[in-house]
Amino acid sequence: MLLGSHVAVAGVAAAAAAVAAAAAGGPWRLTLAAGAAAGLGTAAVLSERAWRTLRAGIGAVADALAEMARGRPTQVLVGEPDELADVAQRLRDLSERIATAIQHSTRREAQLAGVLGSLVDGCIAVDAGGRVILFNQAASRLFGRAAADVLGRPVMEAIRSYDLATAIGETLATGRQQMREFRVPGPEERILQVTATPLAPPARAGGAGGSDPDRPEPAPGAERWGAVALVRDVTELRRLERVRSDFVANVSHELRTPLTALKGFIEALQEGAAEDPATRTRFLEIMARETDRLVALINDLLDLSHLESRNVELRRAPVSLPELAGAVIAMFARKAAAKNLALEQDLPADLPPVLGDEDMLRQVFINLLDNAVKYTPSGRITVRARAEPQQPTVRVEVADTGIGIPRQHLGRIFERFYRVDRARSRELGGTGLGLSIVRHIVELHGGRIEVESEVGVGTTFRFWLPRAP
Amino acid sequence: MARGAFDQELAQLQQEILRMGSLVERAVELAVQSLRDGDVQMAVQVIDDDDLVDQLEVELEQRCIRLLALQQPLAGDLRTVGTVLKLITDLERVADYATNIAEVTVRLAGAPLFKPLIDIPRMARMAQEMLRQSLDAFVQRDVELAESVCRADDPVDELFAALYEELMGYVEQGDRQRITQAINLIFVARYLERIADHATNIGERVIYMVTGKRVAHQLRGRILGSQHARQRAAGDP
Repeated sequence: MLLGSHVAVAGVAAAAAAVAAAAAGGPWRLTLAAGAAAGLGTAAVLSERAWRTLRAGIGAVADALAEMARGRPTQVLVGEPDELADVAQRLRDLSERIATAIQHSTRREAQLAGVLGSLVDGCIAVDAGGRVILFNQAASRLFGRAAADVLGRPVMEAIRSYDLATAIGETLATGRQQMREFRVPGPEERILQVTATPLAPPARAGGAGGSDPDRPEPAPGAERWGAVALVRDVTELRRLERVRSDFVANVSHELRTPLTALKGFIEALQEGAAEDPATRTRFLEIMARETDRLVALINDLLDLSHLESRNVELRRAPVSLPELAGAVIAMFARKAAAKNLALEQDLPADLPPVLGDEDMLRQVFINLLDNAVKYTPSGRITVRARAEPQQPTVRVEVADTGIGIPRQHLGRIFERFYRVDRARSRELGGTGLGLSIVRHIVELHGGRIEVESEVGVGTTFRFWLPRAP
Repeated sequence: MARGAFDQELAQLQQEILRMGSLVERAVELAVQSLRDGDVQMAVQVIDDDDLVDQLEVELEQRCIRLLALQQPLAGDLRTVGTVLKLITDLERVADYATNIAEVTVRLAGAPLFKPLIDIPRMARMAQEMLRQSLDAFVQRDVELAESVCRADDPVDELFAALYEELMGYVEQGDRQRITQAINLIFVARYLERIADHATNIGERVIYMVTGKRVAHQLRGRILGSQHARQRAAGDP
């Protein structure tokens, strides 16, 4: 019995130690210690049978604690004595609270992962040693690396981007925000902007609500935890900026050219050229032509900016193409005849009407025919239209037998101010905006336009318009 | 000083090598791109960045020498530091070639290229890939990868030979502007071929660093072989 009680005391002490260890740091330590002490006190007067019950009970408590240590919620079932039942009850409470805490933190983690994952910007966090501790989906996409291949490795080694690593490195070294913009080469080059910010240690416990007392405090002296870099894809932004500045430069240039000419002739007239009637007439003719060009350019610019503003109101109505195209063709009859060009139309009488804004569609035909007449020295120009079988569209073609467009220019001729031959276009009075306007109008109608051309053989513009219901 | 401190220094040295390497890779990439797009601004950036590479080389060299003096490393460690010392010279040379390519961009600016660049960017990609992999091999001490870098040099040499042939054709029959462009493009191809050679050097040094054996011999044989082929293709006696 004496021996037995010694063993019992030792067993209870061990269990108490396990309980205390498992709950270390928590407010439950005291309660458990008290429970264990109570057990200890009774142990001395226990009978053999009671001792077995107690041992079984303590065994159950130990098992339950082991389960809890593995993070699993658990049920503690013990019979007598009451003291152990009390311990069991408290363990059950503890188990529940731990389970709730784990559930809560799992949910928080999932929320955080969801937020980071759905960010459009790449988010990369590193620890104070420069090792990646967070790498969201957008970052994965931007740098073509899986998070699993990057986490835990130094940024420079894992991603191998000089600019990214330098921005993060400098932030870690200086504790100041760094910003950099750089190109990521590849089949589709992208321009990325990285903003690296030092990760401050969280506010000390006692601060506003959210701080977590379980979080380890940063070691004294370690002022920074690391850095977080936000990476944003600015490719499209930079492209648009470039388009805009190119456009402004082009407009200025196009406006200045006729103005310079006008100014020159005005000065010449002022300085005496006006005295000579023949010179005066010639100069005035040139000035009238330059003025026409300016007016045309400004009109085209206004049209274009109107079309591009995207809140254009289309006055949609059924439009008969034979009528509309026929009228435009008639407009160009004289110009074509002057160059001995055959101007032909192939527009079936039973062609279904298209749905569109008549004035705008007229502009399409005018611009395309104007180009065709300008760039066709001899041969024919044909306007052709067909209803597409089994599709709610009408296909229209304006084909010429002109000088054609070299292959390398085909992709760009619908761009504003893009000209295959700058000098020639200007000589012919082009604004460089005609095809751009055509494309905008066709696209506003929900259609599309394409071009096919061979140098010396001719050019065909083909576009599709919706049929009127 | 303790072993741990040496390892830490070495790890830092590796990260710095990668930093220099990625800067050099970027220089090659931007140089070729500037040439393809006739982008003088980009070319000037490459030329300016070369100072940064030179600066990194000096810094890394000093780190190595400090390590040698203070830690007196032996065997594998000694080979590693020695390899870094040589490797930074290779990297610095590569950056110089990138600068040379950028200078060609500046020289040819103003006139569009007589033909779009296809083989030169392809060659640049091959050389860059070799460079990247040679540095990976260094960091991961991967002998197999280093060997594959050395083997990748032959296709680059072959592409150079073909490009040389093609561009010489333009030199022989073109007008003045074409001749200028073709000759400059031959230079560019040559620079790229040299970049690939330096990547091969790095690969060979990594093999030595890890195994302590010089494999350069057998690999050189193959490189010399392709050099003969190149000279034949180029019409040299």
